[in-house]
Amino acid sequence: MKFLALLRGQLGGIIGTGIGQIILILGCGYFAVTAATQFERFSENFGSASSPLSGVGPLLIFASILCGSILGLQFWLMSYRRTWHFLLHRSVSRVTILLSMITAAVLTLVVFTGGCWTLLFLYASLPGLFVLPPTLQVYFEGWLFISLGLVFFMGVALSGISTAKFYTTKLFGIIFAGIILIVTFMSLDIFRASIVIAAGILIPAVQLFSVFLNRDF
Amino acid sequence: MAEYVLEAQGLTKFYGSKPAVDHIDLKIPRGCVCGFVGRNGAGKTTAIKLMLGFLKPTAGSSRLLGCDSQNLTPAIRQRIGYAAEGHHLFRDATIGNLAGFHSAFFHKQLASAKQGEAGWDGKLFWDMIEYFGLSKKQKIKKLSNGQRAQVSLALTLAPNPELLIMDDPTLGLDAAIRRQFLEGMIELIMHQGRTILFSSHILGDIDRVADRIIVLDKGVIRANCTIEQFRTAVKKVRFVFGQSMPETVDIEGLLHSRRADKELEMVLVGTADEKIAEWAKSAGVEEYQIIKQNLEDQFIEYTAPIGQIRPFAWEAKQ
Repeated sequence: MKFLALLRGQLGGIIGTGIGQIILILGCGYFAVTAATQFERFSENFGSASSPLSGVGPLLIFASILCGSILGLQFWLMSYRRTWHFLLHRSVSRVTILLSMITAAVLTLVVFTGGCWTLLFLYASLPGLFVLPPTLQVYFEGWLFISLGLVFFMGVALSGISTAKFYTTKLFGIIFAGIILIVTFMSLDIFRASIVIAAGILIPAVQLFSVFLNRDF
Repeated sequence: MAEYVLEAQGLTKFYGSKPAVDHIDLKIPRGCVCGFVGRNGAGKTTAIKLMLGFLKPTAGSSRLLGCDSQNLTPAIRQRIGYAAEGHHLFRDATIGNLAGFHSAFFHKQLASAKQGEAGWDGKLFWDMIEYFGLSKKQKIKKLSNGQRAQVSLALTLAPNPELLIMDDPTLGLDAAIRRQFLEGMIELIMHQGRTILFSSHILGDIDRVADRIIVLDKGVIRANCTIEQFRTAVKKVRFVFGQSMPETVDIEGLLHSRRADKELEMVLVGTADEKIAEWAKSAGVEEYQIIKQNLEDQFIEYTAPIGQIRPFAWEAKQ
């Protein structure tokens, strides 16, 4: 009950980000898929094939990273607006508060970004739209891109609650997320990329819990 | 034996090598209204944050309602109302949203519950909001500082907390709103057994509401007594000498003194009137007068840095 109240409170503050995701991904994604169908018809005449959702991939990466970063910024804003005390003086533990913030971020990424991706994938899979409809592997790759948003959420959040100076380790979380992004693209296959992303989420998550439970507010 | 709702033993917090709070020992009994006063940077906010478990002490410990501050359980937190300095609330929420969010952490007060029993009292909250001339749909970010303080007070008082801790709740409020605010606090005090600790720079507020004063100076508790005891203890006396003034002043309870021409002003703490008369006679004082002071004047004299009572440079030139 209290967790749900916290979750509702968190979602209330980030619902705008979710709506922004719908507009960005569905708007640009629909345009990209439509353009791909046109290109396919054009290239059929020349005997070349095209990838149906190739235009959506970069958009999904950009949207996920943007969304994750905006969600992580909540931790900076709480410090800047000095609202931590109002939130922390609740009849719940600090773990519950942090879990509610993480759950809100995951739900926003999964429901809004993931939902839009699923809709685009289903649209591209409609019979007759493409000669070669997108495969399930493409769908899974899309979710990997979305989980990059979670990597950036963790990184930005960790930097937000870190009490270190800017010129020391405060920005470690954000830099780490950037490194994970580069390493993910350098990975040779989906399996290795998945491992890198999982590490990119878990390592800052452990640090985030440790800092949040022990820091002075 | 008195039941203490707030206890601190050797509570200390260092920021780097500088002590913000230095070995505070404190016991506040149930039902007491304590004014926590000190100059800017005295360590009031740090002490309050330590007691609420937001900061980790460098040394020492504190207990609220019998529970260690560093491990306050959700059930104990529910019984403590806290209004932070500046009344920072969620800016994007409306008053209605905030009330919904806040009330979810308390038991709903049953109609059969006696007045003053713990639990979210929605009627009390909305009555206060109406009294302050606010409405459910107003956004926090569009409220003035004073209105935000009023919402904060309503949120803090509506759950009928057993212990209310407020950090400079009237900071930045005009006289009329401050009075409304204090009336809200008095309303709570009227509920039996409620304990209040509030810090303030406005001694008039402390005088009006509190029955106990705690003076914090450079992280150290300098006084912890009833308002009446403080009033009686801190005295400013002006001595007029007919001829020469003694080189040294040796009187019990002397805090600091000022010399000017044939006059000597002293701030004394806990010195009986008889002792003052006795000293005046022995020092060859022509006449003396115990100057009447209000609580604010007494506080200023009491916390004035020794040896630093001198005019500002621009005053000296005049």
